[in-house]
Amino acid sequence: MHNLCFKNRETLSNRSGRIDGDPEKLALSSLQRRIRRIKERVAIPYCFLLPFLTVYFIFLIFPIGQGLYVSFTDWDMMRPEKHFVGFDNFRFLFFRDSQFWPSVKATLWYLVLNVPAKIALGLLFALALNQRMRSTVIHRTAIFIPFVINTAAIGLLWSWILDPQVGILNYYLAKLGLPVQKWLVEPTWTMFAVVGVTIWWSIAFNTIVFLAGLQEIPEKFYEAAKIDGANPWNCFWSITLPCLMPTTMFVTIMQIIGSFQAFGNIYLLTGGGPVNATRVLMIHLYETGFSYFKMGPASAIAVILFVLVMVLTILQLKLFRRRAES
Amino acid sequence: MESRRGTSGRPGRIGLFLLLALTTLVFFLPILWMVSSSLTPNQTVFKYPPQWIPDPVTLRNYTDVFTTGRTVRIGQALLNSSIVAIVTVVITIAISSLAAYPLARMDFWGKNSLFLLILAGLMIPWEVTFVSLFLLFHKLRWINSYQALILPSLASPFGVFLLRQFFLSIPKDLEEAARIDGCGRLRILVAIILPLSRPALATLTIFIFLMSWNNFLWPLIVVTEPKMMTVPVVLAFYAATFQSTLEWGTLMATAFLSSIVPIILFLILQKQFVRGITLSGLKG
Repeated sequence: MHNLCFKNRETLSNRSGRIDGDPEKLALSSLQRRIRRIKERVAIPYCFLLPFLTVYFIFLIFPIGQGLYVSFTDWDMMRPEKHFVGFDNFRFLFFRDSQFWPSVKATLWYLVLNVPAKIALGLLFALALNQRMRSTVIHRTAIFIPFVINTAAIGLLWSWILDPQVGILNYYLAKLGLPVQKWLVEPTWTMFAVVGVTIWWSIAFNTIVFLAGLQEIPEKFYEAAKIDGANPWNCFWSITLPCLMPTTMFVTIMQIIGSFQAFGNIYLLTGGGPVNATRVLMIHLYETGFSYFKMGPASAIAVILFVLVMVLTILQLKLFRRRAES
Repeated sequence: MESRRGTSGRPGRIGLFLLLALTTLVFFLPILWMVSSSLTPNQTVFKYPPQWIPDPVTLRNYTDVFTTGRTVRIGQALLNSSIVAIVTVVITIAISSLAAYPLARMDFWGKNSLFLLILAGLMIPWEVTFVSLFLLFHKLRWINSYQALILPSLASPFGVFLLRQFFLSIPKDLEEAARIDGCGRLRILVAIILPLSRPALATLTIFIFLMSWNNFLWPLIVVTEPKMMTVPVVLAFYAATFQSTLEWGTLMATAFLSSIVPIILFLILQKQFVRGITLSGLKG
């Protein structure tokens, strides 16, 4: 893009260099040119951008800044006045809020279980769907349908299926002679159940992104490898995986951001329980801010979330760039 | 499209088919169970062994959620969700096309930094803005209003990004001819670029519609009155009310009602939907 802009600028200056003649005319035309230049390079483009930038700043950029400010105040909605309290909200979260650290732990646990599984399975499904078969469309549709359903319905449906007494999952597990679990009651199993449901609901995204990545790989790479006598396994490791690097990077970053954002699928399934086992940061933020109306600590959680996501994203970008260079 | 990776002959093919068939079952059966439970009376829905084909089949659960004297009506919620989603789609598409055009076609002051700022918006978990937004709408006395449901989702960096990428792929010749004829920039966008961008616009439409329809947390925060609830919020409300009374038939009917619009839209516009994800994925 840099290059493109530069080129345009060059042609512009060339064009202006062409005008010569008597100095008065030149002065006038240079003023006109300047006005036209401002019109072309500032006024018109920003008129186009104005509606978007207005909502973008009011509803995205400004709230982030204001959230940062609120996180340093003692605003709690019940009182009209608010005071600057320094790091009190953060201190409250770190040292006195008994649910903050459990929710950090739950978020990280969710992330660790969710992200690698979804990347591996997404790749597996993409590889399977990339082998054209007569039934491919049916398989793809089946994987996709859960993805378009809202998270509240997903949570509700699965709390019905996973119900320890009357749910069908336990019924069929028992029938197959497998151990029955108290899915959403037993703290250890709940997070696995939540992650399982999340994979079921949202694996389509990774699958389709990987599928697109696979179709970008030039066919001739595989042909050349075949001539060299490579088996499919070699091809996968030395062609498919390296070529999918950029896709994998994108998917990983999106998954990490998405894991921090998870709310609906967990909230309706478990409400954050049992005993905080699935109380992720978003649930903690929601309850702190909108059940107890403690806006200061809630904003502090938002700030922490924001910083965590940014740091992880930047680290990832650096890591992948270094690997791409080597 | 030919098969890319040579599979190791027939056994490989069969293994692959088994994997996909099993996956399809795992993905499809829960949906089927939702539909089946929604057609079963609340009294017999617990029957063991599970009845996949309800006996008797009943529409009671559906008529129940539409009619009975409940404070929260799914009909109203379906209407609210439709209004919010349609208005969001129309405005988002309009302002995203306007913003994407100069980013794709004009050379202007601050272009690169602005584009980076919009790209950064793709990475921001926008839930972090909810506290401030709630305070803002509270101050404006817009809690429980369509404005509060619609306005925050209009700032869609995804829409701008997707349309910009598409505009860049349109050849410039047509446009230059029109400019020589004295056509203004806005006319060019409306009369030439947008008609050529129909595939991208279709993709964006279904994407934004679904995002709006499925949006859960923000409506949950900003709506407290039953008459302003959107479909997912009604689900949460019902879940809190009926899970204790174990009316799973009714709950599944509501869940299915909330899903039917997205599922039908997806089945009709599969291609556009897949392309949307692909576009967002490839060049992100």
